[in-house]
Amino acid sequence: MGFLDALPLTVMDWLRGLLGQGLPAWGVELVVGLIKVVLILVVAILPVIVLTWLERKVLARGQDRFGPNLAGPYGLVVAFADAIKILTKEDIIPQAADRQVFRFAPALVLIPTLLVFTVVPMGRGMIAADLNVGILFAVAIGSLAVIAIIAATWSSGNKYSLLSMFRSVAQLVSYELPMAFSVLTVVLVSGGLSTVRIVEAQVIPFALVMPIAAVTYFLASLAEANRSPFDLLLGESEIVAGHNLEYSGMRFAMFYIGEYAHIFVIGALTTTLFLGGYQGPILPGYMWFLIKTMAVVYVVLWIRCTWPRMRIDQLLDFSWKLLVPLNLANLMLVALVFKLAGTGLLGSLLSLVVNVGLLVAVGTFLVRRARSSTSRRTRALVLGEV
Amino acid sequence: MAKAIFILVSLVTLVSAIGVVALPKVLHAALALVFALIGVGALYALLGAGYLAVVQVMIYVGAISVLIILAIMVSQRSMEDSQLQAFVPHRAVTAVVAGLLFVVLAGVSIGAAWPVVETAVPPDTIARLGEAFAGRYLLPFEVASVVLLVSLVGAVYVAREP
Amino acid sequence: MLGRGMLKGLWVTLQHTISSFTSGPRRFPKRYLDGPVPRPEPSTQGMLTLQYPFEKYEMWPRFRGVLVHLRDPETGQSRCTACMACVRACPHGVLTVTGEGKGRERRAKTYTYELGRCIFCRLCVESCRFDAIEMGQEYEFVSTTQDQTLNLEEMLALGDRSGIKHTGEAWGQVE
Ligand code: SF4
Ligand code: SF4
Repeated sequence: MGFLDALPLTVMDWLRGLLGQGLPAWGVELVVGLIKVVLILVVAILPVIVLTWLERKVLARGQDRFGPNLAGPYGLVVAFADAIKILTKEDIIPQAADRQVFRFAPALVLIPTLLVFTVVPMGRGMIAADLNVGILFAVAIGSLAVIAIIAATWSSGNKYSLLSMFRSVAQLVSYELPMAFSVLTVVLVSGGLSTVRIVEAQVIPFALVMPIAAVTYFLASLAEANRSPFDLLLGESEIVAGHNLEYSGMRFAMFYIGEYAHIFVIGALTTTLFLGGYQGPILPGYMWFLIKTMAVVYVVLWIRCTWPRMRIDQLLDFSWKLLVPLNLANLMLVALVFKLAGTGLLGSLLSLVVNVGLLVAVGTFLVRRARSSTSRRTRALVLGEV
Repeated sequence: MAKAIFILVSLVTLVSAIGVVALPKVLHAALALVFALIGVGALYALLGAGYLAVVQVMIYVGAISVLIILAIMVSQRSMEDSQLQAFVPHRAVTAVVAGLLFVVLAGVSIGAAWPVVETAVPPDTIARLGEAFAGRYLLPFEVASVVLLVSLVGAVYVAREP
Repeated sequence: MLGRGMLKGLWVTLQHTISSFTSGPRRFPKRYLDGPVPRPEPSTQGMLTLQYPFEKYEMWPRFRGVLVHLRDPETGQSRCTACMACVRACPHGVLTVTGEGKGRERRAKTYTYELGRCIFCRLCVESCRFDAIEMGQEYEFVSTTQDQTLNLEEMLALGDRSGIKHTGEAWGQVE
C-alpha cells in the first residue's frame, strides 16, 4: 500500500488524532461519522454535475455533434446553467394530486441511491461501512426505488404517470431476479457478502471469470435505473416522461439528480462486483475505482446513444425467458466448477470456458428453434429476418 | 446512544403501524406499511441481525408490499378514499376479534421467556444460517419451498383462461 | 441475429464518436471554421453541422439578401439618379428617395430602406435602369421595430462588402 494509495486514510487518521485532543471518544466518532456522510453526499452529487455534461457530450459525439460548448470552456458549466434554470421554475402541484405524498415522493427517490454508496469500497480501506451483508444491502436498497416511483406516480393523479408505474413495477420485479442470480454467483465464488471481501477475492476480475453474470448484472441494473434501452417507463413519445410528468422546479430536480446518481451507482456496483473494484497496478486504488466506474458509465451512455427503447413484452420476455434460465444454469455450473477445481486459476479458466460454452449452446439452441419455427416474430427476433 | 436510536426507531415503527390501520387513504396506509416494515428491519439491525434486516427490507418492502400496492391498485374502485368504510357494519365483530387476538398475542409475548445471550453475537451469522438451512433445518426449508412452488403453480392455474 | 445487430449499432456509434474527433473539417482542437464555410460533400466524415452563429455558409450568387447600392468606380458614388422607378416598383413602400441636381447631374441625396418591410422580391432591382442597386449576400438584419432603416452610406458599404460590380451579374444580364 503506497503513500498515495493510503493518503485519504492518513488524512482521516490525522484528523481523528486532532479531534481526539479536544473531544471525548464519542464526539470524535460523531464528527468522523458526519464527515463520512458529507463525503458520501459529495461522491454521490459530484458525478451528477459531471454526468449531466458527459451524457450530452457522449450522445452528441455519437451523432456527429458538439453537444453543449457555449456554457464555459467545452460547455463544462452546463450543469450550473441547468440548476439555475430548474430552480427558477414555478413549483406546480396539480389539483388532482395527493398533496402530502406528492411533496414527499421526490425525497424518497434520492435516498436509496445515496444509501448504496455507504457499502461501495472506493479505495483500499475507503468504505463508509463495511457491512458483512454489504452487497445484499445494495440490492435491497435498490429495490426500494420502486416505492418512490409508486408514491410519485400515484400521487400525481395523472393517467400517464399511472401507466408508467405499472410498467416500472413489472420491469423492476422481473429484473430483480436475474440481478439477484448474478450477484449470487459472485457471492458464491468470493465466499462472502461483504463488498470488500468480494473486491479482494477478484485476483482476476469476475467479468473475465463469468461474463454471463457480469453482462446480466449490467443489463439488470440498467433496467433498475430505468436507463435506455429499458427506459420505457419514461417513454416520452407515448406516456410523456411518465413518473415525473407532473413535477416541476426543485422537485423535478430531485428526480433528475436521482437519475444521474443512479448511473454512477450502476458504474460503482458493477466495478465492485465484476471489475475488481479498486484493485489495479501502479495507480492508487481510488483512481482505479474512478477509472473503472467511469468506463462503465461511458458504456451506459453509449448504449443510450445507440439502442432504441424496448417494448414491454420484449422486456419481460428477455428477462424471464432468457436471463433468468441462463443465469440459473450459470449459477449451478459455476458452483460445480469451483467446487471441483477450486477458486484458483484453474477454476477461473474453467469457469470462463463453461460460460462461453453455455452462451454458445444457448445461442445454437435458439437459432435451431427459430429456423424450424414458423412464427414471424420469433424469426425476426432471433434470426434478424425482416 | 443505542437506546436513543432504539426508541426513535420503535416510535417510527409504531406510528407507521398505527397509520396502516388508521389512515383513510389506501395509498397512505400502504406507504405507512412500508415504513413500518423498514422500521422492523432497522430493529433487526439494532439487534445485530444484519442479514435478517436486509432480507426483511428486500423481501417485505421491495417485493411484497409492492405487490400488495399493485394488487390494490388494479382491483376495481379500491383506491377511492372512503373505501375503508366498508368495514363499518362489522365494526363490533371486528373489535371483538381484534381484541381477542391482541389478548392472545400479548399473553404469549409476556409469558414467553426471552433468553438473553450473554456472549456477543458471532460475526459469521450468515455462514451459520446457511449451514443451518442446509443441515439441521433442511426438511422444513424444503417443505416451505415446496409449499411456495405449489402455490405458484396453483396461482398460474387459477389465473389461466380455462 | 441474436443481438448482433445491437452490437453492430454500438460499433457504428463508436466509430462516429471517434471520427467526430479525428476527421472532418472540425476535428479535435478546432471548433469553428473561419470565414464563409463551403458546403460539405455528402461523403465527409466527422462533424458536419454548421456552427451557425460562429460560422456561416457561403451564399450562392443569386441569393437575395439585403438591398445594397453599387459604387461607380469612376466617381466613387452611387449610380442612383433618384429616378424613383424603384420606389414605384416596390410593392411595400419600403424605399424613400430624395434627389438633388438637374438632368445628368441629378443624384440621390437620401435613400432610405426600411428593413422591416422588405420582402426581398427584387422588383426594385429589376426596375432600376442605372445599374445602381442589387440584392446583396447579407441576411442577418433582423429588425425589432418597424422603422429600422439603412441609409445610402450604409448600403454602399454593404455593396462594397458583397463584391458585386453590376446589377444582374449572377443572372447573366450583363453584357
Ligand atoms: S426587394 Fe421588393 S420589397 Fe424589397 S425594396 Fe425591393 S421592391 Fe421593395
Ligand atoms: S435606385 Fe435605380 S431605380 Fe431607384 S431611384 Fe436610383 S436610379 Fe432610380
